[in-house]
Amino acid sequence: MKKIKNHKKDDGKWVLLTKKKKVLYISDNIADVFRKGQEYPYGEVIIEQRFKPGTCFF
Amino acid sequence: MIHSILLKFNFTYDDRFGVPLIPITFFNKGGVRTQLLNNAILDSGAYEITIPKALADMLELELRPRSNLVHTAGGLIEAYTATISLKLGRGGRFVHYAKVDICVIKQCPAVLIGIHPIFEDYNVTILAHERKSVLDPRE
Repeated sequence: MKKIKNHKKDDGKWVLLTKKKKVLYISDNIADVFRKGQEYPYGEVIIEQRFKPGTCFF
Repeated sequence: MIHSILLKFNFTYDDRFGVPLIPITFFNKGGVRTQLLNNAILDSGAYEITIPKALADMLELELRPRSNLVHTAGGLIEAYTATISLKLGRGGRFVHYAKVDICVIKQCPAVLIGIHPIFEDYNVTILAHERKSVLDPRE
């Protein structure tokens, strides 16, 4: 059976990922994640926001 | 605001997310690009690109207070205008936008890509059942 990762605890958080989607850094603060991303060569990492399906922003 | 040649995009998004997402790269005040933000929300309900104030501060954007409060679902709140450069796209296919006026809100829960300028420049089709957004340059 495929294991489904529970991202509920990360809901709304910002994450810095490798291109293979390994989490390098996670924070509630978007600025911290963008700042951390600048420590890596451009294109080696990406930034995503974690949120669960059905999240309503507005 | 100026932009490079508009390219057609097909962006897919993961089943984990229920809303259309697009990749954006911002530039700070000094012209240094950030890493790619892979999932900005394509939001036809927002007039402008809207970002959290914490990000605007990190990018050292000059914030100009708005004379009027802005309407959100959470009520009327204070907002700022900032001017930013950005790239739409990923994987070597980019459209560069320079000097775009955007909205900055302290309580902004996500990066929202609103009507100005993306929906003005593109015919946007959201294929929710395919988890896909098609951005077709407006002729």
